[in-house]
Amino acid sequence: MMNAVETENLTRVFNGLHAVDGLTFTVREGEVFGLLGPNGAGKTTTIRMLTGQLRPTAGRARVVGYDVVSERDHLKPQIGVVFEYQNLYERMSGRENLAFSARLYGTEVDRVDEILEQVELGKRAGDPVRHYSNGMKQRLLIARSLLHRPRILFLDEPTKGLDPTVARQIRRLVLDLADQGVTVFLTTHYMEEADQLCRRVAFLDEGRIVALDTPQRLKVTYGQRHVKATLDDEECLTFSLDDPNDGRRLGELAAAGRIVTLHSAEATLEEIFIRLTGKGLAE
Amino acid sequence: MNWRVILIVARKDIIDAVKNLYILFGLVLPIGMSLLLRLMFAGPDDPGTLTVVVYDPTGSRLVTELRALPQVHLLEVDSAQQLTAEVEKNAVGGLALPVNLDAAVDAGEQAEITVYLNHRRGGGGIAAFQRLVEQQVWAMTGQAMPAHIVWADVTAPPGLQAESAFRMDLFLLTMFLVMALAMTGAFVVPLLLVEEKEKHTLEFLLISPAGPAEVVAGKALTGLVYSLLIAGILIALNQGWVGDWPVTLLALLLGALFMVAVGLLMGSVCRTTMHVNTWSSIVMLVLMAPSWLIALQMPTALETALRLIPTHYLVKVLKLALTGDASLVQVWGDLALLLGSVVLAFAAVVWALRREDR
Repeated sequence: MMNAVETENLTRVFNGLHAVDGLTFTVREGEVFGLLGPNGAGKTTTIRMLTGQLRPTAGRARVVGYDVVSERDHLKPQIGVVFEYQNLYERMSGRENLAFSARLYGTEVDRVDEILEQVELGKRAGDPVRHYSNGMKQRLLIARSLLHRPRILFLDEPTKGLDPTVARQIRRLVLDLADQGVTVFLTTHYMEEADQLCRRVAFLDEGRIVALDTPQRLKVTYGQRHVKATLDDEECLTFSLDDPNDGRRLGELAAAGRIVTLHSAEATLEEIFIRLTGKGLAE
Repeated sequence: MNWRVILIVARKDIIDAVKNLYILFGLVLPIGMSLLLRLMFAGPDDPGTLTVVVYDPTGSRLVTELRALPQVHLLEVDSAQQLTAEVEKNAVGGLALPVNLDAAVDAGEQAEITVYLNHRRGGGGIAAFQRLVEQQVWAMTGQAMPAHIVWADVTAPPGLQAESAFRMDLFLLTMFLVMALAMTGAFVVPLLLVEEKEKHTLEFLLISPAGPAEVVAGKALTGLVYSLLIAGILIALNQGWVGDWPVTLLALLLGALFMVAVGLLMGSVCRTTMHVNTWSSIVMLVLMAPSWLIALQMPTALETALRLIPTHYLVKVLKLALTGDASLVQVWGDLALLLGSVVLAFAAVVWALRREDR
């Protein structure tokens, strides 16, 4: 299976500051890959370089086999991008927005209604976009990015600012795309989202990748194995599974019948990120 | 450059632009002002009967045609002296025809017709009379202007009559044409570009098969379409289809291209709609200045300064072309200067584009 994304020492410097600093990674075809990090970590800059919007200061990147600098024109029809902001033509209707995009890409305009139904916007397709809710706009953005059947979809913070119900709808859409074999490259600072959607994630901090693996393996590698017990007097205690003393004490409490509930306390991606970088994702 | 993509971008902008009330206002303002001023300048002779005095020593078919017009009350006199006295007393204007005018026209010569105007009869009547004379003289052959018309003001002191005959209708039309081109080029075009930046839709366009050159060319085409459309409406509303069409169209096309290039430059520099509002009003004032100052006797220094503004040459050519007095030989120098300005302005746009590209 070929790689959908290959980067080698990818770097972008703005006024002497390294926004992205020597990224080397690959994304496999058909994979959902997450780039995680707080605001300002370099996620959007990375996406902008990979989609040909920004020229790297150093290093190289190939997306679906095309060099992002020298083969930008060949690359464009192969990628779909959902931007961080809802950049739609607000005076035009949903259908007009998609028809314009279809004409630009040379896609058959008949596909517009088909994809509008797919994102459940068929009934409101004739309304001006300015009358759409945030969730509807986000679904229209995804529809627009998929209209020309791209081989890879870039999603920059796809659920940012959306209410939980709409965010769940968007995640469902992403999972459907993954089932259809579309490669998805997403950036987010919502750890649960990444955990739920991505096969592999990379932690980005100050333009550098500090960890890259499957969420499960990151938890095993960087997390602590412990359990949380609630006692009969409502006291909550945490026991490390790697500490023999903790194991003995837990056994004694269990034998005395004092444990009311017992839960495994697997580390979250957020806790691992904090452990690795010393900062939270909301920063 | 991908022409298919340019046309798709232009089509989107042409339809979407008029949904933006701000842009729509900019586009229709020159037409609205032109209609308003026409109403304001309408005098007692307009649109009713025009009293016209004629001195025709040899009996021209021009007079026969005028006599047949229901809106013209014709007074025929026997001498040029009688003509000016009669115009001053009773009429909006008068025509002094040369001997054997018809023969001269038929022989392809350009005879001289002196037209006297009585400005005490109101601007509307004068404008209607001027349009009538041009249309009738034009109709004598239907092609090249068959006679050279000298306009003279009977209310001015003798000796200054020809210099002081002011063509208000022509002045206004030229002013509104330049205004329409400036509004579309230096206001609408940068707004189209800046709106794409502000709403981040430019980023969507730039990851699509449209490159920066196609986006800019699409905006330029939109500006050009609206410029020429509004100029056409203004001409149709103000004087009908008389004048030297090839030269008028060429001047309007070059003028529109220049203004659009200025607008594209502004669009590449400005980041917000507010920037466009601020800068376009200043740029438009400068570009429109030659069209306001055309009628004034100006100090030499100011006239020299005006020559630095490319629209000065546009105004000069339009003024001649709209009356049919222009010939390519006469205006080629001004058109060449205008063309040079267009080339320079577009070169600056290309430079700005390359600088902006990533």
